Amino acid sequence: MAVEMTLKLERDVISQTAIQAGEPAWMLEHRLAAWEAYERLPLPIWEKSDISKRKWTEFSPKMVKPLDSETMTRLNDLPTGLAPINDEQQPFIFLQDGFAVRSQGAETLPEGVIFTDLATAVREHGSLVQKHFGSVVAFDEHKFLALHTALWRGGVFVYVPRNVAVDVPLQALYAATEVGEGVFPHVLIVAEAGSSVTYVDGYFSTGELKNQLHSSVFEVVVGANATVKVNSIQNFHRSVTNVVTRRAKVMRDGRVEWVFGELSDGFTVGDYKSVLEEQGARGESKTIVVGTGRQHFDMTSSMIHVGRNTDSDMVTRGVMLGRSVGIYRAGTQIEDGAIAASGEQEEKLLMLSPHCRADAIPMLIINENEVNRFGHAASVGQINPDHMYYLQSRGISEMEAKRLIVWGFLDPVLDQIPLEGVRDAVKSLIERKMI
Amino acid sequence: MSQPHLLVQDFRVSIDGSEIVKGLNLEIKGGEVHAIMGPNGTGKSTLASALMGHPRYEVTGGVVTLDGKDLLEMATDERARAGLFLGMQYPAEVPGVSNANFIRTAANARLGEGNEIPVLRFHRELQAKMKALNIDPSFAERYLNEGFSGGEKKRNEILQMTVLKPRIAILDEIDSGLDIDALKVVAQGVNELRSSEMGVLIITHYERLLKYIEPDFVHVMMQGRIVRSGGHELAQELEKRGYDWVKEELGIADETVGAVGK
Repeated sequence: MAVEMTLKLERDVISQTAIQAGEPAWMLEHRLAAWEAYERLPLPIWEKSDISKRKWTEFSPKMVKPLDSETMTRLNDLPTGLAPINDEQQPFIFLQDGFAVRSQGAETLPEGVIFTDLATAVREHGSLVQKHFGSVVAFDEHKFLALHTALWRGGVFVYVPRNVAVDVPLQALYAATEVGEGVFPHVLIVAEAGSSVTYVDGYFSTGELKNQLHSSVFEVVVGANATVKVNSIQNFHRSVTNVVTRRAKVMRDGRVEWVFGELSDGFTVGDYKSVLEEQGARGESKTIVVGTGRQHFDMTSSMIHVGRNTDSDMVTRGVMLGRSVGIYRAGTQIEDGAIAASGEQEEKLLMLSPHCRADAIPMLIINENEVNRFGHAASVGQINPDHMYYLQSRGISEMEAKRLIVWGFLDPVLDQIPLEGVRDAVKSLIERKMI
Repeated sequence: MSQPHLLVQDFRVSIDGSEIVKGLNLEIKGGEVHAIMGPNGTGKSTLASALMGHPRYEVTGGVVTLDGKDLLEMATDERARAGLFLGMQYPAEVPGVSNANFIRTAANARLGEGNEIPVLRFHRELQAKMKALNIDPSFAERYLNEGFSGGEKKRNEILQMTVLKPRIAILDEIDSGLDIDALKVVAQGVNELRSSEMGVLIITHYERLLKYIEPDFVHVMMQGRIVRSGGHELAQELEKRGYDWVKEELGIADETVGAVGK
């Protein structure tokens, strides 16, 4: 039985919130248009994920007040590695429950580079944000995107002017706490022609969240010859319903490199996509998923080849524990006219428990006859007993052998995480999940 | 420490219900090098794998002790920590696990908690040992056996042996797939470890390896048991005359154990 659920929310709340935040009129109009779409659109039907059983409407997106010092998460409580708390020069934004509570290091960046929370950017760099906000992800694609766009709160804006190379990684961290009311961060990254930037962020929840909805959007605009590296880690509590959209649009000879870590314990539907719009564009994505408890994740990574000579590579490693259920789709789509495009994909899921379930689904859609190189490999399996025997035959205990094999399995993706501190933080998160 | 001592008595091993090793007796002491020779399919590799505790093999009878302790009671990793080593014919390729990390983890497991070797010292010693075995230094950081040639895998097995310093080392067809130069390197690696601290069991088809690692005892295995034992001269005789004369003497028509294994 499909039950149509709508939030008890009035348009007025959206208006008041936007006005209170000092947002320009265009953003308010955008929010209201999205809200209309939200009311109009049906719940999306995901083949393998039944959202009707999730209590995602129980949060109340009432008018939010800025956090007081009592509820504010102390910096020292943040996961080290994900938050550069000891280096004030390091560009870093900390957001909690929709508000930027700390920004640092932006003044050290090259001239013209903007790195600020999105609410500030909307006020201070309105025309730049207006030009790109919604240019990669349209809010009427589905109900949750519409809801996100109507209610977005907190988020990050990165702008890199033409030919500027930002050589320190920009970091952000988002905390959702029990005082929060839904999590809707929006990250907008714009890299103009010939520029380069690395952006690293993390999302986590503290305490026992009650049936929260997290619906975040990344929009990445990669100009001609620009390079953008994005590394995003999510670690949400099990009661969080998580609908995530991450998308890049890559122009001529530009390059996007994603590293995703999905370490949450709840329900996640993720849509990760790179549209290789123009000739010579390249997309790479590396994904780690660790399924624990009764986690359900349903992720689709795709590379859409539109331009000629476009090139893509997707690598995924998933480890499944407990009673987790994982569906991982990788789609390489070559549009008519994408002559000499190349695409590789490899998704491997490792099942460490007899009660977990996993599906790896490669999807190859080719609408062009003249493709260059095109490969895929998908596997779901258990630890190879020959590997265990070999390691144990050298005196390594069963537990240690398993650990070595699992870390080895994850290595091709872990190795790609650009910051050592973040890599270590991800490792220790995974380590805790595996115990 | 006392002299290593492996004692195998009336050892019986089955795979999928059919008996491959049928009542085998063998005693190896520190300082001794034994060679088991025999044609394909006589149970030699099954013997080696079963002694190491490979899960595919079922031990159906007999007693095996290492330094007086019941080996068959131990799990594979416990056997290794007790000092047993098997240089494998087909070592597994394990993606994502670096060779050096693997060997260090193994060495530390053998040394026991609290006695771990410092990381830098380990790497220094590993590089020196790799050099002696003519292994390219980059192999330390490569994934375990992945993309190694047959000869490189065998040298990597010997490298592990030199690091782990086992009390009893079994080398299963360590010579297969090696050219003469690699064979010499491998043999030298083994010879350098020869001492009263280690006993060695070499399993091979050919006498070739035994020119470089001279055994004290040579055993011929047929139909799942040792049918003849002697000194090095037995290996030379087998090289010259083949195995048929042994079969004739014993009145054996088919030396193999049956359907499975080799």
